[in-house]
Amino acid sequence: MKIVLILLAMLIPLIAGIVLPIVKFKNIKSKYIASAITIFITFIIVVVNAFINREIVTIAKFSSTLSISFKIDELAALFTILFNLIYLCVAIYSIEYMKNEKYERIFNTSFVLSLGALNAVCYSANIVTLYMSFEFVTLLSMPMVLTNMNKDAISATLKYLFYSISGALLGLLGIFFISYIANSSDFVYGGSGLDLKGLDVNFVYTMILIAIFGFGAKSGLFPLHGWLPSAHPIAPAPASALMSSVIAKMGVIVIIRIVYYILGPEFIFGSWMQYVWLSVAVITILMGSYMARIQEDFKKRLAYSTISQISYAIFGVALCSSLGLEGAIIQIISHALIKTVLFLYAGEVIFVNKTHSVKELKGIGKQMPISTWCYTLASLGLIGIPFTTGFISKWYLSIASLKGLIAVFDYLGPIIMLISAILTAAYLLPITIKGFFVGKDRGLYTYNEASKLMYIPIVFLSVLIIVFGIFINPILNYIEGFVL
Amino acid sequence: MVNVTFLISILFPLFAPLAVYFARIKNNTYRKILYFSIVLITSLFNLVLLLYTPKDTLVVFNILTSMQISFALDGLGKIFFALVSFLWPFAMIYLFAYMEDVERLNSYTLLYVMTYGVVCGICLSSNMLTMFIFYELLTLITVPLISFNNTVESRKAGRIYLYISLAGSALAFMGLCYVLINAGNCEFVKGGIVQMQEHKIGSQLAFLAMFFGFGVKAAIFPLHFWLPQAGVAPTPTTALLHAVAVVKSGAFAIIRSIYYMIGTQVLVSTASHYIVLAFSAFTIIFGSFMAMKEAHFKRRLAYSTISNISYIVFAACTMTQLGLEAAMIHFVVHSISKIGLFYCCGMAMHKADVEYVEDCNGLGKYMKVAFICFTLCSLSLIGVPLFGGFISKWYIAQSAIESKNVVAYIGLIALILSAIFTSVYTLRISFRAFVLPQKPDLVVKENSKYEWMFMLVIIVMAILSIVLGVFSSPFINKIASLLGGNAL
Repeated sequence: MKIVLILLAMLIPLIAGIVLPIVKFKNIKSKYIASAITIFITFIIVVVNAFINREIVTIAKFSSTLSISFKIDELAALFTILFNLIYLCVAIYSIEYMKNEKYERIFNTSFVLSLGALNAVCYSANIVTLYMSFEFVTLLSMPMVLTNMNKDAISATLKYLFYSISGALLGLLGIFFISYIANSSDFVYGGSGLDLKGLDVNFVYTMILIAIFGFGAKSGLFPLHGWLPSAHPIAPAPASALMSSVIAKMGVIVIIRIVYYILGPEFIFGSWMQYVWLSVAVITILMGSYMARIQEDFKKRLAYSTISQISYAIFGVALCSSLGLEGAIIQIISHALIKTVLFLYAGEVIFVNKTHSVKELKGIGKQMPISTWCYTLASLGLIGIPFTTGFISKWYLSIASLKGLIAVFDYLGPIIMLISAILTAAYLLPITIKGFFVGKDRGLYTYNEASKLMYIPIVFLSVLIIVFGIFINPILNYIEGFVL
Repeated sequence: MVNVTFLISILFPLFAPLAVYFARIKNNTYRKILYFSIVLITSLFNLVLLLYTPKDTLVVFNILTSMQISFALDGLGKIFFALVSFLWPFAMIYLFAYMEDVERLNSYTLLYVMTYGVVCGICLSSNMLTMFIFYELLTLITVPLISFNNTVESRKAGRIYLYISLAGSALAFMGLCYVLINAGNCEFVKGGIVQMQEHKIGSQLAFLAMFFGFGVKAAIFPLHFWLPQAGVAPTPTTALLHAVAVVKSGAFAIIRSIYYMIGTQVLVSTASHYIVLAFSAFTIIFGSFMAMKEAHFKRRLAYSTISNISYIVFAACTMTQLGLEAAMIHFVVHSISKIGLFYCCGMAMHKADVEYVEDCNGLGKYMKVAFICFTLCSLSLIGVPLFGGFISKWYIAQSAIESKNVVAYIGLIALILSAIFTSVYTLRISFRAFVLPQKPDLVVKENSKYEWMFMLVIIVMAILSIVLGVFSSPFINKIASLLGGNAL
């Protein structure tokens, strides 16, 4: 029975994604309601799995050492609940948002299918399964970017497709060597031991670094981040939210699995490779925040913000310590919640005001007070103001960095995060300020809030950002339970 | 079973179609059924041979005491034999559907069926001399199949193919002579002929002669150029012969040279080892790169074949047991996936006069199933897990790492780059078909009554690509045991 539950978490979205476009619905709205219900069911299954299910299920055996297997460990449980919850919020939001889109069918199919692949990534029990699921996430989420079917969408989709596939293949190159030197391809926290078998250790480090850059492409790690500023904005807002909040995290999850669950962080700690990795993460943090500030397109600004914020998590992972991993996990949770709110808000603005530019958002706070308040709360979270999850994650990442025993980066990390926080304020808060403080033009802006289905998920997530910002202890204890 | 039955596999498909040809049967359908039956009977017979293999070698002719024409079926031969026997009937189905209204179909089909007998001869050869004779016969019998359309380019392509193949064979023959002189015989023995180990330099030279000689058919750079030009041949020719029979015979011959003639013991870590690894690794990248740049649909697939055959040769050149097994896994997987791709291409050409890749824009609306199968076969070639292509890539990589040879590591990087290029040159076609708007002058023909034949072949190949990827354990263990290794 429990085995079935693991498979259902992946199969229900996959089957629904094929069936929903074919079945005749009364109107588009009811199709999205059905999609939301499907995702809700998947969410329930995932929650149940998280609490009671620790079975391993193997669906295909390639050889005595290679197989496609799924298992729910603590990391998988945590992330699946988070991601499925976000999918559910976005699903409710899409009921209203997508009803007028011409090619919404492509979006709906891809949206539901990708959840199946995502759960597969989280549930993967060994490296081959993880690689397979990762490839499927790319293939199944690609149509979401394509939804507008105009020239920009097509070129952005192709860019996404080939950056991701190339990145995954570079990752495969690394995986070839990693599975050669690892005693086991199965994920065990801390790794199952390594045997270099005569390979030169610097060569192995190079291969692992290539794998990190390859998988990091999905997460916007420099230098393979080029697809992200094109793809995230061109997708419809719900898709952008998912891509930035959830799908982009897949790269980080793969890297976490490779470094902490197969190789063991001690293997990389202190090596030249770690320094290169930390440097690239830091460069990406700064570059992302800086580029965000100079964007006029609201969604492009948020896309660069994603590049920057995910590299915070990558930085934490690169510290190769339990504390670093803890910080990275909290950052993943925090950013997922925050970025969803930010992108869904941007979507509301586009939906109601038909504008993409940040320059035309004066008085938006008067027009959409509830949503703009949520946006403000989320922004404070991203900057790292206390009482938000963002503060907790930045705090833990800074502590991990300072205690990291790594030359230069122990103090450089917090300094970079601080600079980035200032830049973050600079690219997020102007919208709030111009939105609420309109000065003489007070009378010009009438109340025109987005529909309930669109702002309720946003409010819900914003509340979570605050709640978990204050009552973070249960989650911290849970993470420390398996990380330390 | 008696070993004389080997001759049936070879002679029946060689001579039975002659009877059909000269009988001058008027009714087209009846004639097609006869040709198809010959192929089907041969395949079924071959299946019996595979299950009840005669233990003794059949010596047909003794030229000298050391030079014999003889046949046997060992593990390696069985794999090629089984593959060919399985695919030829499908090729016949496709041939009839594709060339339903072409003149001189009778002669074409005759030669097509006769080629089957020749390839069986290659599989069943128990020594290099016998294999060499059938190898030459293969060249001769496939030239008219390439030149069939009788245009200026077709005749030129046939001529180029003939000349370079003969040159290659001559080179390989020199290597063969060296072995014969020094060892007294050229029987295939796993591990190589023992006497070769006494001649370090000579064996390497003989090996290189065989490698580049047979490398013509295996399309190793710089001897590959005949294959893209042969794209002017009718699609059934290109698909079976160049994706399965001709190029695979070249790879097969190279594998015979390494593992069954000279032996890896003599060759490993020698200069020749590095040389062959380098050439095959380069061809891997070269083929995929040229495929990306190529706008002509069939030529693109031809370059893709060049690249993929070099995967097989590269794996074999690692000179490890795992490399041999990986090579033969890809041998099978590539044939199936590549035939799927070629047949989709042929269907597009037949229905919509597609010649260049850009003609496929928007075609997915009319040929949904075909292009879905095209995408599935592409995913297999790229090496996505759940598809056969991943399994073969995985083991090729493991064998390259195991060989601890620097050039092999470079070859691995070539393998990954090639996979990236493969994703570009295949998925862009799927993208064109399903996403891009169709060209204004696109004309899609009606479904012919043979539509189901096209679809059957394509769907089977796509499903097999997945089956080999998911239920791979029995498949790869069978290959490993046939080649004398342990279960993987």
